[in-house]
Amino acid sequence: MSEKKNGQVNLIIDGVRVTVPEGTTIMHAAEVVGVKVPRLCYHPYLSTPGACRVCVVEVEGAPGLVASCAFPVAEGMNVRTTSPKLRQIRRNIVELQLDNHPEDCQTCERDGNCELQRLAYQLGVRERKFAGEKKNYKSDYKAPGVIRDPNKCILCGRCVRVCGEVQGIHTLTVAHRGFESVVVPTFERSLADSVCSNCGQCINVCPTAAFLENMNYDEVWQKLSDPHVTKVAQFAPSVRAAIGEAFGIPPGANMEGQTVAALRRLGFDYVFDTQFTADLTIMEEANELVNRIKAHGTSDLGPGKPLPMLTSCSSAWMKFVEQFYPEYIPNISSCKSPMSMQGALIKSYWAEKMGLGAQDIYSIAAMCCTAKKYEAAREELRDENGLPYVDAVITTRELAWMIKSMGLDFANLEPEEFDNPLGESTGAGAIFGATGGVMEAAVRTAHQMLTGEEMPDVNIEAVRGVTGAIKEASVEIAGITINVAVTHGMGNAIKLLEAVRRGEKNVHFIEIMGCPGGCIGGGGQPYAGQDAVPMDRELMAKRASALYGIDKAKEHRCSHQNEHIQKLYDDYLEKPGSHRAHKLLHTHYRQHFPHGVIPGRGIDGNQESCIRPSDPRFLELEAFINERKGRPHEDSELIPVLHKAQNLFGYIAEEAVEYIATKMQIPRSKIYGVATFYHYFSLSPRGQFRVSVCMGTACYVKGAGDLAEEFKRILGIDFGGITADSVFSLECARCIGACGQAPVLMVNDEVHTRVTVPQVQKIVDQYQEQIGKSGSRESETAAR
Amino acid sequence: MSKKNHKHRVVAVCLGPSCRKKGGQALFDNLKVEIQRAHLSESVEVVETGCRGLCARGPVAHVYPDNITYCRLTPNDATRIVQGHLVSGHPMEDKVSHADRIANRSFRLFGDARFFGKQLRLTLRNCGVIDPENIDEYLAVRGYEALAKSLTGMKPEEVIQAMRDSGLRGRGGGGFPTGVKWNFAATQKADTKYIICNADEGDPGAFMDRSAIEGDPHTILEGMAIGGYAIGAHQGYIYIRAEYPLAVKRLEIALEQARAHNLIGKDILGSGFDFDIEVRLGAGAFVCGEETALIHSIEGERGTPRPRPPYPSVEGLWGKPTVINNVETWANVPVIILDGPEWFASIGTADSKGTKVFAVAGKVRNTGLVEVPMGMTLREIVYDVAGGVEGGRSLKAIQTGGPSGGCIPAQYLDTPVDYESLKGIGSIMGSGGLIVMDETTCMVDVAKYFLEFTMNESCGKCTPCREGTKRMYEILERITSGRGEEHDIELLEELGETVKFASLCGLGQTAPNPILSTIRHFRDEYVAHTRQKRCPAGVCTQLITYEINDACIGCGACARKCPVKCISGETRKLHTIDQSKCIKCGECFAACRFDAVTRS
Repeated sequence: MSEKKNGQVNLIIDGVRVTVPEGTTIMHAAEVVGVKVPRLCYHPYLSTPGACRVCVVEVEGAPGLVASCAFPVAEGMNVRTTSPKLRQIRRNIVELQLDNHPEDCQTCERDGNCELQRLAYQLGVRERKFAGEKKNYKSDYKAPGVIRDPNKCILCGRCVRVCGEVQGIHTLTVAHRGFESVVVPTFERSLADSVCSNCGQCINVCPTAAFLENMNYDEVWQKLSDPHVTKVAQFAPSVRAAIGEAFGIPPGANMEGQTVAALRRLGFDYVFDTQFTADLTIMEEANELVNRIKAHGTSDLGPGKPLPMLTSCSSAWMKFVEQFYPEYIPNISSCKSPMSMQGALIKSYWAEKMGLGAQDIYSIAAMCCTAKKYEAAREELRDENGLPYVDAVITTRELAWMIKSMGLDFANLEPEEFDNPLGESTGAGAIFGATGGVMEAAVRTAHQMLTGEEMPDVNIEAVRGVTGAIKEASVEIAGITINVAVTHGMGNAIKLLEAVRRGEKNVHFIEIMGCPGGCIGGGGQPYAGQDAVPMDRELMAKRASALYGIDKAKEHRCSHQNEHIQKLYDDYLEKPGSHRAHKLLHTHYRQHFPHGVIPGRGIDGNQESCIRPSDPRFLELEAFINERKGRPHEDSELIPVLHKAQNLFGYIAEEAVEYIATKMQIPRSKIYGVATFYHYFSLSPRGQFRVSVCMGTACYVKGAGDLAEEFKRILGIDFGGITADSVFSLECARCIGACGQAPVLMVNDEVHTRVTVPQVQKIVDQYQEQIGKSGSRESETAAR
Repeated sequence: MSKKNHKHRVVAVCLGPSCRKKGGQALFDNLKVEIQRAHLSESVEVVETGCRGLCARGPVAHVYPDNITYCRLTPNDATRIVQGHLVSGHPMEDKVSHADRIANRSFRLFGDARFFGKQLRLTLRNCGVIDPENIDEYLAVRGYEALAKSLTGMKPEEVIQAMRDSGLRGRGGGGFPTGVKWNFAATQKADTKYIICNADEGDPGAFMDRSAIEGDPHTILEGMAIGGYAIGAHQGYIYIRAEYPLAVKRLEIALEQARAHNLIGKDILGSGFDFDIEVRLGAGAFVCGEETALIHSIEGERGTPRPRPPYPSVEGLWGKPTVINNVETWANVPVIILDGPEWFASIGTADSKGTKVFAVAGKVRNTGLVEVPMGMTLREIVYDVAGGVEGGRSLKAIQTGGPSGGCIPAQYLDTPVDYESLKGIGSIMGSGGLIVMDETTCMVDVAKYFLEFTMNESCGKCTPCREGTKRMYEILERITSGRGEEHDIELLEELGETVKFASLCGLGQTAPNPILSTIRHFRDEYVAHTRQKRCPAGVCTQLITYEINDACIGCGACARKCPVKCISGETRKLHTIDQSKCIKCGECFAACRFDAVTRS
């Protein structure tokens, strides 16, 4: 073995010598020698928990097996990635996953696209030896965008990580522990009632079908056979850039014409382009920006001020602002998204033109997005009769399923053109789908609006690209310097907005897309193929290149040059920002609850005073938290604070979690995850008399198990349960250190020693009697 | 005793958890009243002490300087102790523990040769001897002398060298050489380093740490301060179970007193060295005994472990180099500094130096804490120290290491207790739980018991432990309820290997030990359960049948006791049990005085 030098490490993998940089993991070093170690929970853009254990390998001299995803290489290391033992163990691990997973592959939405299924096949799991009890949770179908089926979850934790680490939303946590571990929103509420933005990145990264979009294609099929309505479809720029992947076409192909053709074959009477209203959005949005600048100059900056203006086309981002940054609501452009503008035009302008009533039209949108389903359901975006402008939203995936189920040969369909007048678009409309696209399109038109002249070079490279987290540029227009910033993914948005809030960034116009990569990386896009990872940046770049290719090939590359747009204004809308434009194309936003928590942001005094419930115990909790404010590693005080809360309330009440979350700026999900992990914390009220039977070894061998059974029989509750009258709750204690007098049990703080089974009834009676004596005494133990 | 104490006599009442529960507190209170009544307040002091390990015979009190230990006291004995012993000079012979002195290096007391004679109490040297809530008493037994010696006479490297020379290995279960661990942390370049005392004792049946802290909290603080000095840390944390309120209270008192004496805090003893300690409460998660999980818990996270490397000595608490040792390890540190690493290394075996504390429990006469030199055989611990098996039954197995350990059958009783020997027979030293099992213990049931524990305590992060422990438990449940097949034993072995080799942390990696060791040593019991559907120990209720034979005189005692009323028969005639209703509680078996109820 040669000497280690220049931060390079030499090692042997499966007998092959390899030199890799120091700090490389075994998994990546193995890829250098052509071995892709089977893996499951690992994701290159997320933290590495080393949890699934599928990628274990043998390292000579190490006592057990090591997870190759997390284990760094070392000089002279000798690694084996395969052996009979390793294969057996990997197979057993995947079998253990399958044993706690529904056996419904054939009817599962991810059949054929499931990483677990693929892995089981790859590793040769051909029999099931360990089958037993399976998890059994309720599914959550309430949210319009994203639905959740914990029974399909294999606890890889990618969703929790993407939601926290990439999106900064922290909707999800792993709650409870051991076999009871489950990924849930706080207090196991529905996603619909949580801080979830519906972005759907959890669906993208999930290896199974634990997260899915709330499907609408059944309803669409139904309506397609309804002869009494006119069926109209629109689809987003990014749909054409990605739908081919679902049919095995290499990423980056523009399938616009085939998609139009397919929609007509499915039964849609008219197919319009969301890119048309992307152009319209630009007209309205650029006009809004120009007006804000003209009215206030470029110095009136900050939350609640006219600038920076924030884009409003990403519906996940909209919900995010409303919950996490309500103070920025005045900064959001009032423009609807292109989808909603198209929806409104179809049922007004076009309907009038066609002599149809709104009720005669069934209008759907095929989107790269799951949050668009949420957007379509928003009350603010309905017509004056309270009916939705867009009747149904389907994702790119759903559209692909519809095409497949009809048996269309998608790849070989003869490309067709959009219908008009709502089908024509410029290059500016196409690039909407990639991060930076809206900004680039808006600047092209703002330039014309401010100067009356076209931009000499419409390519603004600085805002393009899927890798840069925050892209910034300054544009000189008519002697005004306009600073723009672009970001994608809500986690990056937080970084950008925090910098703006702190006054570190002097920007006038910000484009934010909720998903990494922009719409092309939306939660409704085709699943990553066999060789790609979800959210893969190379894949995003290919999809983006399809859109920039469309832009480049267009004769008109600026929205204001779109002749149909000009005609629309002439015939119907008058001019950007007109009264009718406002009615149809603009909307408003309002604060949504629960209020989002951003770790470390701090809360303002205003908020602080309104979060404390009147219960005096909160005052005490507040004092306890305040005492810890400003200490190093303040967040680490969470467990002491939970102890305090339990002492005050008798259990960890939901209001207490809510209070601690706001007060300490710790995401609710994290608090819930922590509180449910530790058995000392009770999430539900406990009985007036808490019976805890010691199940320490000494007690157990002396019959504690029988005592527990007797209590369960007499009280009719299990461990962790509480009797209907709230008098008794039963817990299992782990060694209270009185082994000499085993078996022992405690009722509140009283210890009963050397207890026998017949005594159990007497003990219960004894406490029951106390209740009788004290009448309807309130539970004192709760406030212990 | 206390330097300030000018009284002639001291009555030290153990108020450890066990003695307290058996009336120790009332005894303590009565003694005070009686002493006042006898006008002895000037000359006799009543003090409370921590556990001295005689839990099975509590409440215990010791009279100094007479050196008489009383056992099995009742609150009413206060009068006799005061009037008979203190006033008249006649000790209560019936309650005196047999007076004998032991060859204990650090001090010279305790009676009861059988229990203490073979012990060597180093880490527990002060437990039951001093008042743990009075720093003066600790100072009187050379307390904080080791810290002073380190700070004033030794360089940090020398302290670490002493640890290495002593051969001390971590007492928490892993047995990693303490000096080596300290050296890793000491050689890291970092602006901040931390010391952690792991007092999250969670093994069911283990209470060493609790007793050690309750009886002698200052030793832990002193050990941690020495460790901080050695590696360059200025902040320590004690992570202790919330279920140990007395220990927490005593730690807080000790910290306050140590700060007041400038033994903890800024510029300790004028040396320029700063070191402070904070107590953090656990919240009921056994896995937090694992060091990376413990760190996460202190950080306010779910207590899940993470893959190592990096080890905590390189990247620990908040990413800083951190030394984590358990209570017993820290308690050894002052001893080593004070009495020298060579002396320490002279105790024990070639690879396991010093002593080990065991919490002996189960079917044994003297339940309690014992501290013995490494290398003592299991037989000596069980028979000479702990008094042998209760009720004269024969020993079947010894379980060491709690849920991470294994069951050792009687034929290995002469195995010396050290890290390697125990590992060699399929168990581990662990943190010191030692449960004695007799012929009435079913080994399959014991394995199931431990699996239930690890299954409930699995953090759920890694697949093999989360899913595997559940499946192993299900198989064991099948076997103990008579639904098992012989093939299940092989399944257990296969699954056990997967969980053992592939789990992320020590909890999962050792979880199959109770199963694998019982299959290895008691395979015939598994076979009896699966092939003959029989539980040889008569424990697995679903495999038991109670029947009434001809010896029945028809007295009806069994029928009256039966909780489900499934025994019928006319008076003075043979009774019968309705097997379809029988819940196999065993009440009839216990009630019959004519051996007419049989269990099979």
